[in-house]
Amino acid sequence: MAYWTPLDLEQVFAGWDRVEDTTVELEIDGRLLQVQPLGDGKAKIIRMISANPNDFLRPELSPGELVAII
Amino acid sequence: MDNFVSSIDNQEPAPVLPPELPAASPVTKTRKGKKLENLKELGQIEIPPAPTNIHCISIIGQIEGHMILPPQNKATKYEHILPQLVAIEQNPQIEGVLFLMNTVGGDVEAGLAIAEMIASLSKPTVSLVLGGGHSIGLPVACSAKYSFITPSATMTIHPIRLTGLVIGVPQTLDYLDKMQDRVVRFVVEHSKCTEEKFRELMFRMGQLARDIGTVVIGDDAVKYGLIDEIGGIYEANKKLEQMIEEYKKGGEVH
Repeated sequence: MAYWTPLDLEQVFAGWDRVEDTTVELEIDGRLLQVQPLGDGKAKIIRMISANPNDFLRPELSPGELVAII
Repeated sequence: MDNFVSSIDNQEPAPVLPPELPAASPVTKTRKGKKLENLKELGQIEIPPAPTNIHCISIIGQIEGHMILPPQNKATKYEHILPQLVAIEQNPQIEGVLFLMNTVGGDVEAGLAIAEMIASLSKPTVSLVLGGGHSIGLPVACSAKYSFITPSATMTIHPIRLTGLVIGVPQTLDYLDKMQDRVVRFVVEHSKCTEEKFRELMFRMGQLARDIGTVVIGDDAVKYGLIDEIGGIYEANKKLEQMIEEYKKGGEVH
């Protein structure tokens, strides 16, 4: 893996060994989302898996957005 | 923009939720509720959305590669940007793309993937480097059909690094050299900078405290031919509109 940045790699990858994968998969309107539950009924979108490229133009489905888990 | 998003929604078939999966819906507020919240929290009223024919993509923070970066990083995720560019190429409502760049570089493969996608878009593309467009941000900035840099923005050009275990030194050196050549070739092909000049900037001594290379500031980036013009959002937007006009007439996009 080649990394090209003026930042120190120690800075970029700081805390990599403490990152826990607590993500779950969720389906919204037929789109598969990998989300991170935040505990209060909400979850943060990490990534979306969809074969419809138009889904990626929807701001409410972009990474970092919140979705409600019922 | 709202019109644009809702028109995309209209094209889609009615959502079908399989019964065994958890029901979920995006957290959205009613328009009225949001208006009031904006007024209360920010002292702002909501500006009525105006239809736009351009799409704006921010290339920010680290360009994330095949490894998920720890959460303290802001990251541009290639798995979201790449299909987005596919949609942009296909969507007739989008006539031009503006890339706002403020990146500290990142993964070479991911950066080159994004850059190649931008370079191969048929629609007019303009990039605007604000703040910084360092390392792998440079090929991404060059990949647009026309590029701008603000006078205070900087770009760091330095050799590529490799992470991970080194087993065979000569082979690793050779690999690194090849990786570097890919970037150099891309920049030379998509900008007015010559290969000799770019390599000279990359290996220049005495400019960076802990590395070799150069920090290129606004005017210099234009002087070396890396970026086309000095400008801000006004110039970038004007250029993109002009390119869209030319594109609509069926002429060449420059």
